[in-house]
Amino acid sequence: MENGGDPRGVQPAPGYILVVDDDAAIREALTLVLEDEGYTVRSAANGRDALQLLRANEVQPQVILLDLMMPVMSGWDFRAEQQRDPTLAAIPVVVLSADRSLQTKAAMVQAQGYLAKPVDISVLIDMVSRYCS
Amino acid sequence: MLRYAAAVAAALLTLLLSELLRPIILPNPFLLFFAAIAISAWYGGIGPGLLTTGLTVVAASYFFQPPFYALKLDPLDIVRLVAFSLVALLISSLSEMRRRDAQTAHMQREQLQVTLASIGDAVIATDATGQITFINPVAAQLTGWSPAEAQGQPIGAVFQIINAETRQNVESPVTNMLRTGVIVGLANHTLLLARDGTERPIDDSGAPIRDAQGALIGVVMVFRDITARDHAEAERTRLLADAQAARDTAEQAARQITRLQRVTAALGAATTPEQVADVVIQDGLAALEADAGAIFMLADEGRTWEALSFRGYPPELLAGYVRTSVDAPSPLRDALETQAMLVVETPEELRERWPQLAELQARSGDAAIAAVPLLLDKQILGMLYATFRAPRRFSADDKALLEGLARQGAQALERARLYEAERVARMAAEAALQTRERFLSVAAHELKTPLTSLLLQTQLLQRRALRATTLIEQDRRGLQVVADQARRLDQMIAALLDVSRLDLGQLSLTRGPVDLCTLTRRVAAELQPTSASHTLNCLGPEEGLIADGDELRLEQVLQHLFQNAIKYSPDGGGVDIEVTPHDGVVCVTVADQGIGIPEEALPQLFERFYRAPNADPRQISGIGIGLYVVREIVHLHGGSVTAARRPDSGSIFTVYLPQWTRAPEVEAPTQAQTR
Repeated sequence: MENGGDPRGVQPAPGYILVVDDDAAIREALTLVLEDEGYTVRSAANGRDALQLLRANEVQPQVILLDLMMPVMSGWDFRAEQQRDPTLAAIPVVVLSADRSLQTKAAMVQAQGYLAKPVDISVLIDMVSRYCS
Repeated sequence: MLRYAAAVAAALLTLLLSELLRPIILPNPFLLFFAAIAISAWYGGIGPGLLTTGLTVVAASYFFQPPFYALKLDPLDIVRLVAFSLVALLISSLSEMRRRDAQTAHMQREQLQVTLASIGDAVIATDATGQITFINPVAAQLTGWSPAEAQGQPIGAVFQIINAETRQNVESPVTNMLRTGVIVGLANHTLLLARDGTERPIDDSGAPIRDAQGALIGVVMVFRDITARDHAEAERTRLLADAQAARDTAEQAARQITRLQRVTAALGAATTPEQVADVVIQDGLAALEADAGAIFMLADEGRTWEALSFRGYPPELLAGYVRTSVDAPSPLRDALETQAMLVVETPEELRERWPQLAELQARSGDAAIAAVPLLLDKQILGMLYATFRAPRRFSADDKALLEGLARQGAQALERARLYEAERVARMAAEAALQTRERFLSVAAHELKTPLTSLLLQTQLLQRRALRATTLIEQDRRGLQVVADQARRLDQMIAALLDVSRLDLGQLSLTRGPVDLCTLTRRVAAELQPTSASHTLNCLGPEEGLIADGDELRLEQVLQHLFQNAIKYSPDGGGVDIEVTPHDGVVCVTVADQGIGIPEEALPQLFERFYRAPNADPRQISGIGIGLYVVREIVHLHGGSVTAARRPDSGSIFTVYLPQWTRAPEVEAPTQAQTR
């Protein structure tokens, strides 16, 4: 899945991670932790912003950390849009949520992985490293 | 003997007479003797006839044959005597035959008379002119005419008959028969009028009497008094009518029971008061053939009649009925006052009793009504009202049916009301549960959001501190405490959510084979770092005891049990954990050396929010949900959990879980990439 070819030539940037969460403190913490590990992190507060970000850029993230419950556009709707968009569909998604039945919900949005909030730093780093070369 | 004496006397008498008339009869002395022989034989028979003959021969020979007064016979005399004897014999025989015939005829007549006289039926015979020739005692008694009086009377005088209904004279069948020659029977319901005026119903039959040539020479009529039979018939008719009436009553009762049963069945399915009212009116009043009906309920604390259901009333009149004051004069008010069924059977009575309603009554065409209180425990819930367009007499059965309908209706209405109330309460309870569930869900989400950044930031600081080695040891420990407490907060939130899910019955298991040996060892190893003063000792085999369960949930169970053991052993010490197989189940025992469990706390130990009295909240924190979650999860598995005091000190908890028995190839797929 990593560095996979893209019909429009949009290349996944190595070490680029997109964080989508409505909570600013979480966005900041995730950004700090992942940057500390050497990743490039961009973040969006909801699904719509995330889509805009993805479509505006020439490069794609290697993984998207996606919250589910967000205002404006939820993680569900984002995921659906993403899968409909052939330029974005291939980007792996890890759901990051406090939802009680996270496992089921992650399967429902066909996410590649999931992390329960509050997430342990080592678990987070371990998960992200699977998708980033 | 007498007959022979008479024969001798006749002979002597003839001899005397012949002697006296000697000069006249001498030339033919046997002449008179023939008469004597004939008489003897006529009355006495052949024997006396022959005796007279013998005596006559001797006497005639002696007295009137020359030589006179001597028995001297010449041949000619003998011939003459023999001829005489033969003729006498002939006369005797003929007389005897006649005599026998006469005797037989007499006996037969006697027999007939006796028969007719003793016959049970009345018999009257007439000659061809209709005059009575015979009447037997029964006929005499019935007509009031003695046989002697009746003899020779015209039949019409003695046998007078009239029609029972028209009281007109009826022609006697005898005269009819004599007139037409045809056999005629009496019409039904004919009364015989006796001489004294007594009337009796009779039944008759008659037959013509014909002579050998077939000429009508009279009529014989047989008749009988059928008063008793008429009575019996009347009695039988009455009994039949009684039986029919009883059958009709029984059938009607059966029909009503069937209808009531149908109503009962329909009422059982009715869950709202409106449905109940519809059933009572549609099915119930139909049984009474009511033209219209309604159910009114008392509303506004008994001040208003509120119509619950209507049927059959003109639509333009309904508006006036929907809500009416209980004080308005009406059959409803009267039935409410007396608390009893009220029926009015005619329109006149309706007008008379409620003149105010006369106009309404005229427009709706009411002719009879029934108002029956719907009583429950002597309290009136409402009124069942039935209207009939024709005058109607309410039978006892009708009233019983109305009472039954009202009783069942009242019960069903109350049931429907309770059902409704219960449904509302249940919905409220469900809504409350849903609200709590939503609140907990949102609360958990909101609580976990700050925890997420808190934990990440703390751990980031820890990692940086490790790399930079710029932090002093005290600050490092401080960061560790922040991280640990954040995790603890997270666990408490998770436990609270579990309680909520258990309460809602939403916690479901994903079952599969769970190796309790490896699971206990893993959980113990994960928890060991959290306490330096405790030692978690895993005893028993290292693997191979497989339970049938949900690994994630069982991990939770073990975590709670091990944490409890640590928490309630404030002075530290060993915690012995052992997994053992036990007759179809796998046991996990957790034994600590802590403060133990007071005897009185044992029964409630697994209750939600319960905390043992010896657990000082200032020393040992907790909200009392760990063991509750343990018990609920174990029960969901079909297992059990027990707690006991150890003899020396501390507690011992034992969990029994069903052993995995299913075939290894149907193992549940492994889930969860991470947790």
